[in-house]
Parts: sequence; structure tokens; C-alpha cells
Amino acid sequence: MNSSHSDLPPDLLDLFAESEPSAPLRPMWPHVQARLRGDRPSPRRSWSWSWAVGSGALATAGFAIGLLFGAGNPGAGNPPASSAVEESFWGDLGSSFAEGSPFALYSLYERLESEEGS
Amino acid sequence: MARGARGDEVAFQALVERWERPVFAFLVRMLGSREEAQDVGQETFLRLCREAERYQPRGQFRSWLFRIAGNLARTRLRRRKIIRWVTFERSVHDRPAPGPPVGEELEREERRTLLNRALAELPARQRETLLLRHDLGMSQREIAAALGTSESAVESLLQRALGTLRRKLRSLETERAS
Repeated sequence: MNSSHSDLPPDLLDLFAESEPSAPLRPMWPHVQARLRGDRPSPRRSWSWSWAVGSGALATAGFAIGLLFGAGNPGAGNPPASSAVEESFWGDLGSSFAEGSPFALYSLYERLESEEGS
Repeated sequence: MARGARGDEVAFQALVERWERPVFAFLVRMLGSREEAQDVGQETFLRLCREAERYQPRGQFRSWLFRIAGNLARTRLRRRKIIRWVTFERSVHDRPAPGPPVGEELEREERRTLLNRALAELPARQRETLLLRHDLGMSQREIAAALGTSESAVESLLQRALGTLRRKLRSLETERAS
């Protein structure tokens, strides 16, 4: 330690020196470890997150594809959609995707069906 | 520390067990409360583990550790809006008390209590500087790193802290004598 004007007088220095460090009330590591483990997502948790996100995305894509094929290729026995209706469908479909709502897409499908039917 | 930064829990555990005692003692004297010192000590090590990747091996580990502890202690003091300890009696230390002190031991005990009370009345920054210097035996360079200031500022802080401490001690001794 450097000696300087800022050193304590010897009597006070003794008092500082003899103050033994106190022991903590409880060992600190278990608490720190628990908090650290709480910070890190476990492999299982990250797997379940990716599973949830992935399956959600797949379900949405499947729903949209189902609607597309259902509307654009109505199948045997149904008349093909007229070009005006097709244009309206594709135009509205774009805005439905822009809105990002499968419900909007579904209501569009229902509307188109009722227009075709009328 | 390098092992800890790579996520080695055993290394962190060894680090915490090696340093928890001096960190706790420092925080008890900074905060005047063993419970709060325990909380802030745990927070210090948690912060240390989380920020391990930012540690520069060429720096002094001890300065870095006590910088975290000091910052957290001052934040706690500001939160309490109490810059001085209310009481700081013998009970904050773990010293065994086999019986009532007598003679010379009584005198030392009283002087120790006076020192603690005088320390408690110092501004937090001055108290922190004195503790780093005289409790932990840090060099002025280490203290400067811990406080994020220059060595000359540390020298000045220490001189002011000692001046204040002497005045407080005189005043408390007069109070005791009267």
C-alpha cells in the first residue's frame, strides 16, 4: 500500500485492521445460481417455443393454401369462378394478407361464395 | 473469470465463495445493515456473472468487483434516501462476545464503536474510499479503477474523508466525555 497524507493515524489503523470481515448471513452462491439458471432458457423451453411458433406458422399457411385451392379450384361439379369474381378475389386476397388476418380471409371467401351463388 | 465467462458454473461458484466475505463486510459498513448487505452482495455476484464477458483480463478483478458492489450500495442508499447510517453498533460484526469487556478491551471496544459511528456519518463516497483503502488495503490505483476516477481524485477524497473522520471522532469523544 502506498504511504501518503491520506493514511490513517496508527491507532485508527489498528482499529480498521482488527475489524474482521463478517461472514454473510447465508452462502450467496445458491441464490446467485438459481437466478442465473432462471435467466437462461432451458433447451426444453426453447424447443417448445420453436415448436409452438413453427406449428402456428404451418397451420396458418395450411389454412391459407386450403382457402386458395378451395376458391380457385372449386372442384368437380362446381362452375369455375368468373374472371370478374377472380379479379375481385385476388385483389381482396392481397388486402386480406396485408391485414394479416385469417378471419378477414375467411369472410372474404364467404362473401365471394355468396356473390357467385347469387 | 475467463472460465466463468464461458459459462463454467464451477468457476463462478469458486469465485463467489472466495469473495463473498470481503464483499459482505464492505457492504455491511456501507449500508449499516446485514440483511441489506446480503441482498446487495447477492446482486453484486449476479451482476458479475452476467457481465463476465465484458471483463478485461488486464484490469484488476478486485477493482471491478468492488466497483459493482459500490455502485449497487450507493444506489441502495439513494433509494433509502438516507445517506448516513442510523446506528452502527457492535452487532453488525461477527466478533464473539464471551462476556462484558473490561479494562483495555473495554476501551478498545468503545473506540471501535466510535470509529464505526464516525464512519457511518461520512458521505457515502468518502466512506467507500476509506473502506476500500483501509478495510481492503487497495492501492490508490485500484481505488481509482473501482470508483471510475483518477488517482489524484482518490488522494483528495481520502484526505477529505480523513479530515471529516477526525472531526467526527473528536465530536463523538467530547459527547461521550460530557
